[in-house]
Amino acid sequence: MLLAFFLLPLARLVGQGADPALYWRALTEWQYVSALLVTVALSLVTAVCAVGLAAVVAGWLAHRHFPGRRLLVAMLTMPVALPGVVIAFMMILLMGRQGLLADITDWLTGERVVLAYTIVGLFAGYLYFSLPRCIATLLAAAEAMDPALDEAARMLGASPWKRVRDVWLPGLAPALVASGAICFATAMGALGTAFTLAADIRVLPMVIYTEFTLATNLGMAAALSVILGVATWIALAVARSFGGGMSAAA
Amino acid sequence: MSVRAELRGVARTFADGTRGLLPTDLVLEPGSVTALLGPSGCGKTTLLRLLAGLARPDPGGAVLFDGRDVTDLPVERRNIGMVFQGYALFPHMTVARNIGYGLEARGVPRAQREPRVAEMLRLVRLEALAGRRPDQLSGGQRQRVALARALAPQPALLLLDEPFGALDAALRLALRVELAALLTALRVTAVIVTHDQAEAMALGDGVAVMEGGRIGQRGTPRDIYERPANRFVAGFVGTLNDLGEGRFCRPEALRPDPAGPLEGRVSAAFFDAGRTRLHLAAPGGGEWVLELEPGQAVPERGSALRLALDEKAVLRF
Repeated sequence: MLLAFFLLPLARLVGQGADPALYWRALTEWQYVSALLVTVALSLVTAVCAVGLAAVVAGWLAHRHFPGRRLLVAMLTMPVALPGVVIAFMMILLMGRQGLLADITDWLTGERVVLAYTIVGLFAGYLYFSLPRCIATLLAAAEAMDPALDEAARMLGASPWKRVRDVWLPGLAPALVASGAICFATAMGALGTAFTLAADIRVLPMVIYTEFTLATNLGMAAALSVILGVATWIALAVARSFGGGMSAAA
Repeated sequence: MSVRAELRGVARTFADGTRGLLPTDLVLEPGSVTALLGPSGCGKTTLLRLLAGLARPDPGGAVLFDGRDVTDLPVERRNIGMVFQGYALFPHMTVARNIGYGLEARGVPRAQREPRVAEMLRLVRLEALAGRRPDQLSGGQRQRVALARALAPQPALLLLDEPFGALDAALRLALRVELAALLTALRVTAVIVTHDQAEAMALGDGVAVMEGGRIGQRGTPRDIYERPANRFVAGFVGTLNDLGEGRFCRPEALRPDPAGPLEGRVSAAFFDAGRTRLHLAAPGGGEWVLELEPGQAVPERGSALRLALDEKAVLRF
C-alpha cells in the first residue's frame, strides 16, 4: 500500500510526460531552457554562498563557549521552521518598495532602491532559508571534530589559513558537500519564495506551475517536473553518499 | 635547544568559576623529564595546557622560558612539541606528511624537510610505513608518529599528555621503555602527564604529584615513594598499609615472621610473575598488603600470619 502510495503518482507523472518530443522541447526551447539554467545557477550560487557563510559561522562557534551561545544558535537555526512565503514576505519588507533598503537608500541618495523582485531578492530569500540548515549541519559536524587537531596544528606553527586548509576543510568536507547538495535541492524546488518574489524571473517550479494552471499543458508540466525531480534527486544522492547520517539532520 | 621552563604564580580559573589550578610555581630544568602525576581533575592537564599556551593563566601568573616571559606569546611561536592524549594525527595526511607538518608550517622547503622526516621515521622505526594514513596504523604506531611529529621541528620543550592512555597494558610497558630511552638520548626538557604512578616513576627524573589543583609534592621517584609528604601522596604513588595511630608502611616493610609483633588473617593471595601478593585482614579492620619472596610458602586463606615490621620504614601522617 505504502509503496503504491509512493510509486503511483510517480508513474503517472512519468507516463503523463512520456512523449520524448516533450523532453526535447523542454531541453531546447529557450523559455524552458532559460528557466532551467536560471534555476540551476541560482540554486548553485545559493548553495555555495550558504555553505561558505555557514562554515565560517560553524567554525567560529564550534568550540567557543560563552553566555547566550544557545540562544544565538537557536536564532541562527530558527528560520528552518518558516515557510517559503513567509521568508519571501520578509524579503519584501527588507528590500521591497516600502522596505528598509529603500528607506536607507532614499535617505542616502534620494532614490528608492527596490531589489526584492529582482534576482538579488530571490537570491536573498533562498539564502535566508538555506543558511539555517547549513549552519545546523555544519555546526554539528564542527562540534564533532576533535579540537585537539586544531590545537596540534597550532602547536606545530600553522597559521590560521593553513589550519583552515589542512584541518577544517578536510574534516568538514563530507558535511560541506552534504549540506551544499541539500541546499541546492531545496533551492531547485522552492516555489513559495519564488512565487512571491519572482515577478520577472522564471524559475523552474514556477514554470511548471504556469504550464499546468494557465496553459493547462499537462504533458509539458510533467516533463519539466521529471527533469526537476531528477536534478534534485542527483543532488540528494550526492548528499547521502558523502554525508551518511548527517544529511538526515538537515 | 632545551629550555628552562618556569611557572610563576600561575593559576587558572575556568569560565564557570571552578579553579582548575591554584597559584603554582614550578621550575623545569633544561633536559629534565618531569612527570605530573595525579587523579583525573587534579589540574595536571590544565598545568600542561598553560605551559603549552593553549590556555591563558589568570592575571598575575607568568610563564617563562629561559627567563623570558612568554605568557603572551601565542602557541604558534612557542616552539613546543606536544603529544596529545588521542594523538590528534591529521587523518587525511600520510605518516610522512604528519611528521613533516611542523616544518612545513614553519616554511621549511621540501628539500630540507625530507631528510629530517626520514631521520624521524628512523628514530621511531616507522620507515616502512611512511606512506600510510593514520587509520591504517596500530595504536602503538600512531603514538610513535605523534611523538615523531612533535620532535621533528626540534622543540625546546616536549609535552606528553597521557601518551600511553589509549594503549593496552603490554604495549604500554614496551613503549614506556622505548620512550624513556628516547628522552634520555634527546635531552629535551619534557613534561609527561599521567595518572599511572608506575609510568610516572619509570619516566620522570622528577615527579610532581598533584591533588585538588595544586602540586602536593615534588621530588625524585624514590623520594616520593619513600618519604611522601602526606597521606594522599603516599596512597597515590603506592600501596599503603594502615598500622593504626597514624602509622603506615609500604608492603616491603612487612614480612612473615613467626616471632613478629603483628598478626593478620590471610584474606587473599594473588600470584603474579613469580611473586605472590598477600592480602591480610588487619586486627583494626583495615587491610594489609605484602609480597612474598619467590619460593616462599603461601599460607592458606583464613589462617593467621605473624609479621615482622621494618620500623625504619614506618611513615607517619
